[in-house]
Amino acid sequence: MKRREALKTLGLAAAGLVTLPAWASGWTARDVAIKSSTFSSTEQALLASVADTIIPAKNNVGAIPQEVHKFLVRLFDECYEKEKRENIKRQLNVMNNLAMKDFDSSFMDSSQQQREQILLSFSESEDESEQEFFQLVKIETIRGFRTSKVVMQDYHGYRLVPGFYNGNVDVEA
Amino acid sequence: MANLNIVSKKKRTYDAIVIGSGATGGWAAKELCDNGLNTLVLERGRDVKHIEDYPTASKAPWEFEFRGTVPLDKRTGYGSGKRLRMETLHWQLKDDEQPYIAEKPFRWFRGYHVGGKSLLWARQTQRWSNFDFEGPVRDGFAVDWPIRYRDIEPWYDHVEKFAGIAGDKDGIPELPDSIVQPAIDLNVVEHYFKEKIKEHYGDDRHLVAARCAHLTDPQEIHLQQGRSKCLHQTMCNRGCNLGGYFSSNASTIPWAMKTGNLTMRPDSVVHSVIYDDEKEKVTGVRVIDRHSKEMMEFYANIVFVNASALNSNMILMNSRSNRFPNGLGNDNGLLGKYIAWHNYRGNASASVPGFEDKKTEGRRPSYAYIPRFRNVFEQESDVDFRRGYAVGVSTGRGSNTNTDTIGDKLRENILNPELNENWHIGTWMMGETVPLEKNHVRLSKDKTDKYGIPQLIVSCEWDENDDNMTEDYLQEMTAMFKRAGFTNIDVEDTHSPPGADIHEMGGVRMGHDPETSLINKWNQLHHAKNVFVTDGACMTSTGSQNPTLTFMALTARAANYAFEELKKGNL
Ligand SMILES: Cc1cc2nc3c(=O)[nH]c(=O)nc-3n(C[C@H](O)[C@H](O)[C@H](O)COP(=O)(O)OP(=O)(O)OC[C@H]3O[C@@H](n4cnc5c(N)ncnc54)[C@H](O)[C@@H]3O)c2cc1C
Repeated sequence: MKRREALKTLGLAAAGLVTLPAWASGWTARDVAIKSSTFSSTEQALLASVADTIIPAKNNVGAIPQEVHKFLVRLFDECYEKEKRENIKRQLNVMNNLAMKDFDSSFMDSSQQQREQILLSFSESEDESEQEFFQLVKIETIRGFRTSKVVMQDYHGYRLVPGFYNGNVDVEA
Repeated sequence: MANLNIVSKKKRTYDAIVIGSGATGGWAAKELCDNGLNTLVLERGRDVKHIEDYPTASKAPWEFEFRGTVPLDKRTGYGSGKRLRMETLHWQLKDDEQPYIAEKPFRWFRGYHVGGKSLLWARQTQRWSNFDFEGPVRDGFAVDWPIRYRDIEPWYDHVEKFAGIAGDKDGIPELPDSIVQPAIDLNVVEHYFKEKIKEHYGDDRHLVAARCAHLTDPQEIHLQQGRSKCLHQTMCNRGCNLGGYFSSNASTIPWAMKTGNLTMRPDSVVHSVIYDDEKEKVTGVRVIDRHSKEMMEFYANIVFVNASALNSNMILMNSRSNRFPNGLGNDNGLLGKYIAWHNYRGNASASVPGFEDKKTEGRRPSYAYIPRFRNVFEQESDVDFRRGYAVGVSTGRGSNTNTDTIGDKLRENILNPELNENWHIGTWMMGETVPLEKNHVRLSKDKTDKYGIPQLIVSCEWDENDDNMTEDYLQEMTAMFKRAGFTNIDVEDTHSPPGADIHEMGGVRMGHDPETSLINKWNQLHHAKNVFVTDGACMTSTGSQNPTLTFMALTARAANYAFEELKKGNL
């Protein structure tokens, strides 16, 4: 993916976000943003970065490789009431501003450690809407990841058609 | 003009009409068609073809865009209280389809489509014994059942062979053996619990693999239906492409269709049954077409009412004529009364120490079962309630994931869940309720639904017998858990409303005497012999067993009797 193109599509330059984070380097323009969403491309990128912070990828397994960020955008657009959705957008901005203030870089450009720090500050916030934002995005990120094909099949042994039940299996030591 | 009318009437005339295509209607249709009767099934809901109309049957969790969550724009019309899921949204009933009035808290669970609730049920199938049929006369409630186990036994056999039941031959008098295929086996903890129960209670209490309508060893008759072995997908309530469990759609309806004698008319809301005052018999059924809202009539020599218990009551109550101003066959005023159900209020759970080296694999579509043990052989003197309860039992060893953190640690935690330290056991009570006259349904005098049919008023409530029985279940379950060495025991009376059990019954009860019952021992209305009511409405008492197997056996029995009577010219 040409980074410059991606930046343009995302409108990141305009939002003051100069570089795409490392995980976005594999993106194609079509992948970058869901066009029909109420989330702006900047908000989508921020949300993706939050999901990436909550479950970072290793060996190509994590929120982004499992496309949890896309799941989140569609889910919040279609399955959540407007107030909840607007709060998510608001808090994404708050979060990004916090990164600018504390770390002098956009949220996406901050390190994993810095991003975690910001998110955890939301989880401990006295502001209910900040807490709600964190809990909601976290729960749904976990759900999206956990119900992905790779996690269910390769890690949790899920089979659509098990064909049997064995109620007496030895646990390997 | 007159001629045209005759032609059109002839086109709408059949040997038999069956109202409803659910678990019991499907059986009526099959038996009548097998006997060569030209049969019309009238079903208020849409058509559901086996496999073709199971849109989610083979979908993995990740194939749902919102992983099962229902988007807002698809939630409209269902009311706010319902827990909707994309996996099963296609079976959900919209609120405006049939509003009803719960005068006291009541939950009415309905499935309105071809196949009815046979597509949604949990497929548990336990036989009744004489301890159930003799209940009313022994304990002095309701009226005596005009039939006994020996009357229904051959029809249990008949239904079980065709439907396919998995289970063991347990040899327990209060839970007669079924015709079975291999049971879906108990797990290691349930085997242990079974032994412990035997140790402490001897032959008084048993734990068995619940009998269930799953094919574990399909026979020729099942292959002929196009069904195959259950592969433990445990997504049964989406519809099963394998036909691994019994539903009307997989089994009785396509079978009846193959005879060439069945006409299925979906989207046909039955309004009432037509009684001809001159002929002194029922001549047909009035239907409102769900789309055109047009009222139409269909005619037949016999009518089977199988719209599910409360709907069958409703249809009969709405069938008024000069002869029957208070509803068809309702000379004694008991139609709609003595509604009863099952008491599912009690839950109990515990941890199971030991078995740390054991776990389960695969999935299981069924449970374990403890047949009724209270007041079976006689009313026990130290028990402050009549009748008793069966217990459903489910155990397993779950896993857990610590999600307190975020970042790399969270990912690793999710990818590597830990087996729970202990196995867990959960049980639920299934109690018999005693039918009381005050528990009833009736038609509203001023409120109608969008088809102009009077709304149903449901007036049912718990009674002291139910409270005491629930209390006993909580105590006895605690005792059984303790004796097995289980810990963290937690018991609860959920106070769930009547109807939450989805086993509502009665209102058109069977009995010897037309003064005190609505139908005779062949499920015929005492006063309109060519009408047969064979779903849950016919039940004089409720037993504690999952009731559908009994409804289906009664239906098959009545349908064959109806055929014989027709042949003899008696109807
Ligand atoms: C979640 C769940 C779990 C269950 N588990 C079990 C279990 O394990 N064991 C057990 O024994 N039972 C169980 N049941 C209950 C079982 O499903 C019912 O007892 C059984 O389906 C009743 O059969 P029926 O033919 O009387 O009614 P249904 O199967 O409900 O069929 C009635 C049909 O009549 C149609 N109808 C209604 N009114 C009209 C009208 N006016 N005109 C035309 N058609 C009409 C309906 O649309 C429907 O298709 C369960 C039910 C549910 C929902």
